[in-house]
Amino acid sequence: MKTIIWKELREHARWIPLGMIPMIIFLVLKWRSNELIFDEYGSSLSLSSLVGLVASGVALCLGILQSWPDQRPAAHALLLHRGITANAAFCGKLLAGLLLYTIAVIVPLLGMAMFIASVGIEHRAASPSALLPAALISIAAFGCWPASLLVVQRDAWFLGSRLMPAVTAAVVVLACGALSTDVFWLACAISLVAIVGLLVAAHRVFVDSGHVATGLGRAGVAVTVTMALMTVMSCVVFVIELYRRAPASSNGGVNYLYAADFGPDGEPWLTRSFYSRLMNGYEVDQVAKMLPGRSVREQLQPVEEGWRQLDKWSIFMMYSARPGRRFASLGNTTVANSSGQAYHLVLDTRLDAVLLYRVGINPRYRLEAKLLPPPPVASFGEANTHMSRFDRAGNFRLVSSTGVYCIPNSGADVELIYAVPSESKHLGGSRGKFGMQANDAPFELLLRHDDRIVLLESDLDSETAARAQSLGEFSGLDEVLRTEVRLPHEVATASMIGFARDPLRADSYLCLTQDPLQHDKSIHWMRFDESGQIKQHELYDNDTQTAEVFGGEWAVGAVPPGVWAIGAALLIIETGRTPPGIARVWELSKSDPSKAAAMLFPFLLLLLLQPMIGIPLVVWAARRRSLDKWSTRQWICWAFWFGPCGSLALLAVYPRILREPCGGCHRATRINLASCEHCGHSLDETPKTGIEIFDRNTNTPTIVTQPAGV
Amino acid sequence: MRQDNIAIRTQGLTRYFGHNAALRSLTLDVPRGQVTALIGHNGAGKTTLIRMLLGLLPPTRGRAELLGCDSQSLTPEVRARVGYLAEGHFLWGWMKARDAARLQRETFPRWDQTLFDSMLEFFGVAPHSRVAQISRGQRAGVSLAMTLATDPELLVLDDPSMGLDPVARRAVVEGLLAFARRDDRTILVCTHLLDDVERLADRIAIVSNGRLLVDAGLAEFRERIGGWMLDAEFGSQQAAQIPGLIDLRQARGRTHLVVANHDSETEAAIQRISGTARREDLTLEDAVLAYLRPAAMVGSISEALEHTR
Repeated sequence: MKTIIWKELREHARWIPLGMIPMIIFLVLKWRSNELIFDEYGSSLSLSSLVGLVASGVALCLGILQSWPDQRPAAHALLLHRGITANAAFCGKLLAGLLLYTIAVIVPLLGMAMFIASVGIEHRAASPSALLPAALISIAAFGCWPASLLVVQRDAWFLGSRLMPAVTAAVVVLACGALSTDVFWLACAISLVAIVGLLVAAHRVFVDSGHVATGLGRAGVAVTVTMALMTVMSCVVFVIELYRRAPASSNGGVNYLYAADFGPDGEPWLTRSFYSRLMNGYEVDQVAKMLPGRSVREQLQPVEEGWRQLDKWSIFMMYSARPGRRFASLGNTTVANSSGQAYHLVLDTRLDAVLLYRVGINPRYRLEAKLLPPPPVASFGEANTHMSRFDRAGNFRLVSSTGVYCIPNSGADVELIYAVPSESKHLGGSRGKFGMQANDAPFELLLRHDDRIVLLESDLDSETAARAQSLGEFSGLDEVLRTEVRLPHEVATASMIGFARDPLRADSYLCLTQDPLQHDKSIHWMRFDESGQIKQHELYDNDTQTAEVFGGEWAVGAVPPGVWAIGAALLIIETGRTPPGIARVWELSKSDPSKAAAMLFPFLLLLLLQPMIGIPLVVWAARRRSLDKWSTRQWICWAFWFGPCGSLALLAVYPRILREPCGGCHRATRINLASCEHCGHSLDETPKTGIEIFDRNTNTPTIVTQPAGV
Repeated sequence: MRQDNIAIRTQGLTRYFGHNAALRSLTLDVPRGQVTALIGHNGAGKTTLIRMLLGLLPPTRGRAELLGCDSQSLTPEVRARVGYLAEGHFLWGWMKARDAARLQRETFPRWDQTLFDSMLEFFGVAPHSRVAQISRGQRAGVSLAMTLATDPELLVLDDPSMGLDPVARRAVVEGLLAFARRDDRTILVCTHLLDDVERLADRIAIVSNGRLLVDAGLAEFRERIGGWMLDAEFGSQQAAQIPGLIDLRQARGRTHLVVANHDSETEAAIQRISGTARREDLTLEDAVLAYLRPAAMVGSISEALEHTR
């Protein structure tokens, strides 16, 4: 094996700079991109994408370089005909490839990490951990190496299944790119499984000289091709769906958004808005008052003069802990103090500090101060739910898992405005959202934890302020008033669209929710008091979805059963939640079995249709490929789980066997058998022509003839 | 022939590339200690046969044994006992001559550095010469040195003289002769140069269109093939009456016949066509070329006769 490693390194080391230089260029470009925070999030130049692109290219080229030239018969013989096994030759190539890949891709990343660590946070909010997603993608991208070996060495049609391994490797890189920032360990597991699968298949193809004659190799190719086929088919369906929807979703180039909202009277209204470039946001142009149990979409009228929506609080999803994310920007605007000097504030979750950067010219940023928050804020990094905003005085309001803080722009100490009660445990997930009002009130903030909502407000009218509890005076604001509202059970368990103070009745609140069981069917409007007592509850038809919007659980049935099962298992493992479709149908089956059955029928039909197509296809293909019963059964199982894509993989794994007329019975018979499958006539018997000259004293050879090859 | 006296044995070896059969039901024995020449026109299936023998290509059906081991599962130990010189003297261009030695030395336990060095000297190749920068003949020398210095029991050579000048060619043949002098060495050499075969080979195997037509000792082959000259031209009907007819050429009112496995019946059939027919001495080249002409294709003699008229 040492010899092969040496040979591969001697042969291909010269290509390293071609991979290394683009990597270094991209890393330097990213570093010089003038973004204060060096990470993946909200960046115009995504490090992971660039690294994924370059690393995939390096792995692909390396794989081709290491396999294509050695496909020439003479080179193939010189490589393999020596006192080593084909297995050792493959391992030699793999290790050499891995070493070259590491030098070209991983070393620049390590170098960058060391550079970042040495620079520190003086001029950039940067940490070596920011390179973690990119490092994971670069590992996943190595899957392109065995994929290219498979493409080059496997005996198949290029326009058939030969390019499929490359598709699979690309999908794995893309999937890791998408998942690495959210579910890092899942992305790690996917890339590891994919690389091992591709390596196993490539190894068998290499050892079997272009064929896959063994079970393990066949399994590897089957998985690879099935994955690729499913991806290709999904892409085709997606493109068709996009094309189909395109003319329906636009109206003269204007995209409309329908929403249920509070009207000026606090009642629910259906609004239609369009994106206004002038306002850089959505503007309402048509409205209709919603009526219980009736669709009002057709009754939309142009919005009248003076009509305005009731101010409401919207719930925002918060940031969650992600690998490589140590820093978070506390707002994207620059705050200017009296001297006109611009600053940026960055939350450092590792130091539990707010970093104050002064904006200059060269260097562009300089760390001015570390504002170490008082002890209660020290749990910033744990829940990682934070949101910030400037108030009118230019102070930052920072919302974290522990509470709300004010960071004065004067650089003074951080002040606690509101501390989250210590008994509140669920601040993450669907019930632990924080939210803020969208309008530009001086200070309005909504916090939700468990079944309670806390409103933090200033500038309240005297009547409302009288009911609210004062938080006292603090920087930039005279007084912050706190109101705590208990949510009714129906609201706490639902998906909230909006929350508002009732404009007509004091001590009363309004809420618009969607039923998690029938979120696409109806909208609930509720009026309740501070103690969570419901005073009024109405149900309206949901007209907010466009007619063309693809919805409904039945569509999940189009996913192959195996993928569905794996996806559901991963969801349960990762989040501990049951897949939404199952939960919804299960809940509905208790209250309305007929509706549940109607929902379930198209889903089951689609789900069953896939094995119904896939299994006959397998039976037909297995007969054509002359598979034995055991293999056919295995493939039937495969088709059951992966539908027609699984069946088509069979055609890729088993090459077509040529048939020729038998000399005995003249029926078409397999050429890879020693004798005719119909009449037993030996296929090795060739008619003598009388010109053959063989040794007179040669004995009959004693090798037992067996079918070979397939 | 006893099993342990056979270095290479194939049984019903068949290989298809798509719909084309490159080799059909080939059954061949290569005895130990002898030099066997494998002859055939381009595309006859010689290289395919060698690749299957070395386990570098799986057969469609049939099987082969090399030094008693199934060719599809050759162990590193068996491979180390077999030297192989690929067609075209392929070497990686980045290699230096000394790199070639390193490549072989570590994977062939019986590596003979002295032999390698002396062969390089013979071909005028310096150890630091890069393969991409030496002449074709010198590359052939390095390639041959790499193969012979592994001290193989069985040597498989695919057209070793290809592209060589007469001097280098003579050197290669003499090198092989010296190598074959030891009784336990077996050589299977695939070549188009029939005078090399005459000097080197003990046995001859002719492959045409994927079929093995001849597998015999050189003397036996010569004995069983005969040539006649007739002072007349004749048609395909008459030619079809001659058993074992391999080749027929007509020119200037004369007809030259090459017949395999001739006996008194053959002679009588020829005399019936023309009473003036007389035996003609055939060189090895004449005999082999008779097999390699398109007319020697099975079942197509009559068509060829029509064509020559």
